[in-house]
Amino acid sequence: MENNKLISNIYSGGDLTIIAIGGYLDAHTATSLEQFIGTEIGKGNYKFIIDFAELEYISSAGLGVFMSHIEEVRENGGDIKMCNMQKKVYSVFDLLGFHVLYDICKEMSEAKEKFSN
Amino acid sequence: MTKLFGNNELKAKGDYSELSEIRDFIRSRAFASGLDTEKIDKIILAVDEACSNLIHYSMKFNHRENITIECFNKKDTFTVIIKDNGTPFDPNKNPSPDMSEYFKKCKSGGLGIHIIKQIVDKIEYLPSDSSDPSNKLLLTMCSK
Repeated sequence: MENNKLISNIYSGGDLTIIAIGGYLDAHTATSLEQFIGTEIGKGNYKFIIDFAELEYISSAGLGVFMSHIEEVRENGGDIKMCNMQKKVYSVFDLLGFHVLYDICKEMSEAKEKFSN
Repeated sequence: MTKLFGNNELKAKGDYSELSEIRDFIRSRAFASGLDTEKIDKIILAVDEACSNLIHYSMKFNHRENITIECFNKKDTFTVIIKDNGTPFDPNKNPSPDMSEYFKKCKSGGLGIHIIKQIVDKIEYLPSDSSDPSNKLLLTMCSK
């Protein structure tokens, strides 16, 4: 059976909001992540790092979560940077060209550094 | 709840919560068929996308509606047949999106069929008719 605890950890440092996600990001689980990011944006947080290390699976509904917020965060000087993506998850981003749209970093430290520049 | 009929057939209701069991079902049957890991991941994603669309647009999240998912092996192929009773919709007739426009407009959603077309080896569609009330979507992966 699949383990479906999607948001495994959330922490903030300065103006960064780091969300560690795990399990399976599909049409069923996407809504909770979309709402969570939406709530953070509502509080004025626009700089996100999504830690994909524990994410096993993503479908187009999962890609849609980030698409629905990327314009607003970038308009406000922020971004949604991604890191620690497993190869099988990256391949779904790559399949449709989403890897060009997003800043996908190899490691967390790289994502943090890009925000500090 | 999904229901398993025999080894190779699963019934799922019109709810996204069924997707997890649908993926488990496809994973186990695709593995047993001898597909490699990369192809197993692809057919799981294709079936997830197809079923997500059917749950939304054909079953309209109605828990009384069902889709039936069957798996078949032939010598070098693994085929998943997804049956629904909604309005026929042939994914082969759905135009592919212009991805640069899609990104420019920061759209969200509507990529499921495009993904399926990118990752499976063959898509066939048999709409319902007077002899059979079910639409059938056949997604085939070649093992070689």
